[in-house]
Amino acid sequence: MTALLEVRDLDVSYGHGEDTLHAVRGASFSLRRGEIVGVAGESGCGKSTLAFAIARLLRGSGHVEGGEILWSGRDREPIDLATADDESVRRVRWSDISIVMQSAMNAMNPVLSLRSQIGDVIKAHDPAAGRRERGRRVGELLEMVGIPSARGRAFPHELSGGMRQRAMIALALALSPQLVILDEPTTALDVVMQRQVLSELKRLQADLGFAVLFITHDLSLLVEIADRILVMYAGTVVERADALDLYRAPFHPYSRGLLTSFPKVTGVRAELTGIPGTPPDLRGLPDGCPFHPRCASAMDECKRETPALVPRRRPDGEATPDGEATQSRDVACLLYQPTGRAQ
Amino acid sequence: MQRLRVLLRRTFFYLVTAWIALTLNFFLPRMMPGNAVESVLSRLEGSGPITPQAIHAMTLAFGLKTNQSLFQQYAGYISDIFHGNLGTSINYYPSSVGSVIAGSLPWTVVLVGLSTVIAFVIGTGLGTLAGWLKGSWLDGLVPFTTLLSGMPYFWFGLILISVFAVGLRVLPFNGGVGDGISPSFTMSFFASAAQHAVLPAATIVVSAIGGWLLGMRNMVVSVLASDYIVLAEAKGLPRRRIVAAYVARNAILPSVAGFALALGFVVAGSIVTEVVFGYPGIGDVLYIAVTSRDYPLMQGIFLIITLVVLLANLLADIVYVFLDPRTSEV
Ligand SMILES: Nc1ncnc2c1ncn2[C@@H]1O[C@H](COP(=O)(O)OP(=O)(O)OP(=O)(O)O)[C@@H](O)[C@H]1O
Ligand SMILES: [Mg+2]
Repeated sequence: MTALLEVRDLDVSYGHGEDTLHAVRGASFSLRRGEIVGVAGESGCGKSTLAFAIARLLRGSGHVEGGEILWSGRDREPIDLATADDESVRRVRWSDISIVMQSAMNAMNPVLSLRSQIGDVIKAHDPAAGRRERGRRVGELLEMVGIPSARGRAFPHELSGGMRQRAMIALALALSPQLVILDEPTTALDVVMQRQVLSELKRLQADLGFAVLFITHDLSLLVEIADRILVMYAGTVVERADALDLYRAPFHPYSRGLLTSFPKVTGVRAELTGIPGTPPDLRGLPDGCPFHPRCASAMDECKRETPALVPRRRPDGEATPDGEATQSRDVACLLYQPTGRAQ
Repeated sequence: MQRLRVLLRRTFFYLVTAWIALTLNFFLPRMMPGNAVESVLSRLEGSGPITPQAIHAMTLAFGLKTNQSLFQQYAGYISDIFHGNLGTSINYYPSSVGSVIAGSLPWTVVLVGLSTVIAFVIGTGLGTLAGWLKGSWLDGLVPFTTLLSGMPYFWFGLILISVFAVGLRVLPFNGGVGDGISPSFTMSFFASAAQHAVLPAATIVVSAIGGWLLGMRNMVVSVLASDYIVLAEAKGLPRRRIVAAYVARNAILPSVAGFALALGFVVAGSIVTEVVFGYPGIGDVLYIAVTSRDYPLMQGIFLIITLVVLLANLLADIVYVFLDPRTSEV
């Protein structure tokens, strides 16, 4: 079976000429039907840019410079969202791919009621549904995420933060999409609310079977919810692995640092070691591996050679992290590549 | 329900303000040192003989019935106003102030009011487009319209007159309607009135449009950067829906308040246009009242101006409450 979404060597930049900022460089991954893929990384590493590029929603001077975004939706010819014309993209939007944005407050039109913000997307993609039918579906959607359907009359400012986020999820599911992109859907909520919304999401995902691209800076949260995880650093994917494998044995030193940056939600609370230093400036990346200035395991070669994302190879003499890799795992780190042979 | 409560509260507030304005209007002449009529007369004497009718008119206008208590005078004054009785004009004696205003106000309301509305509609419409198509040729025209609105009003009016009325002789340069045609529901009246309104209306529209356009354009640009517009696009909504219900609907909110103020300013702001074009509106009458020191008439017009401003503000509040659900919060 072909993947639902196949991203190949995606390059995304903001601006042109000298000021160009390469926010995503050579990202590749695939997403199968019903799968939850997580993207983790520090602030500014290009997670949102990757997500918005897939939905062709880049802002300002953002544009795709190269690569392919192949979408093989149900009942649809596969299309490359990076190059497809606007009308084809519009048809895919929401009915195939929907998105929940980080800040539910700002993502809602302040002057329209919940009902009309959910209703208009149904109307746009299913003109045959009458007013009655739309009202009924909006009510169902709201009930599905635990909002009484009578609240559909409310305006965004009249809802609590948690309710707003649920409403956004109801909106995202309005047309039974095959992929829901969640860009830090719970960051604006308190911990209790976060848990609630997450379990709600997991339940809905299990029921409805949509695929998810889940973006967060909280790697330990992803481990719980995702099937596979991409770890991003400075615009590149540095590790790609099954969630459980990554949790048991993060290979890339950066993944290891990320995993210990947050208190674990399950099991014994890990130490908050974090990662020394600050995220790099994407305009002035160091030569070699972009992570080497902050890496405890950095070697001399790391300053010269840029590691490619390749299937992990066991370096001779290096103790391998424990845990059995059940599936493919790719790492962009010289520690796992015979020196001088990195592609 | 929430909205109704807000509106009732606002209406009450404006009623109180109107009452305060009326009361000030009553007490101010009485607070002038000495007898208001005499002090006005002494200033009028320099400019020519004063008829006994004028003295009588002013005494009535100021409500100075010395044989009554202050409270009786006040009650009489309020009741007069509610009956539309604003006293007698000196300049147009023996016409009442009410009839002078009634004869001129419709001209202004139609000309300036309509021009203000047209300027607002075109300005915000073009502003929406310019903001939406930021960086296009249309957006490039924005500084030009700003320049037009920066030009002095009367100067632009005079240019129009010299080109179209004096030079090309295609439009009349003076008055509200042709000679010998009196207001009536006939084609000839409306045709002539429309012809006379073209130049003053163009002056108003051209000078007002730039402000609306620039304000709307900038609001649209800032609204376009917000998350809910990105989401609207992600939803795959038709462009029409995005522009109307998501972009313009939010961007217009600040302009609505400005528009109400502009409507309130219709009466007061019409003076220059009407004087330049010799238009028989209330601005022209106010100008005549001031130059001829027709105090009763001035007082009446100021009262109308106050009420119109208050009414416009109330209108703005009503519209705003329906456009922005967040207003019911406060
Ligand atoms: N509209 C824009 N114009 C120019 N640069 C941008 C724009 N949006 C993002 N960037 C830059 O692109 C880089 C990646 O940003 P992005 O928003 O994808 O990061 P992120 O990983 O989602 O971060 P966060 O966790 O803070 O949301 C950053 O360096 C950012 O400054
Ligand atoms: Mg982000």
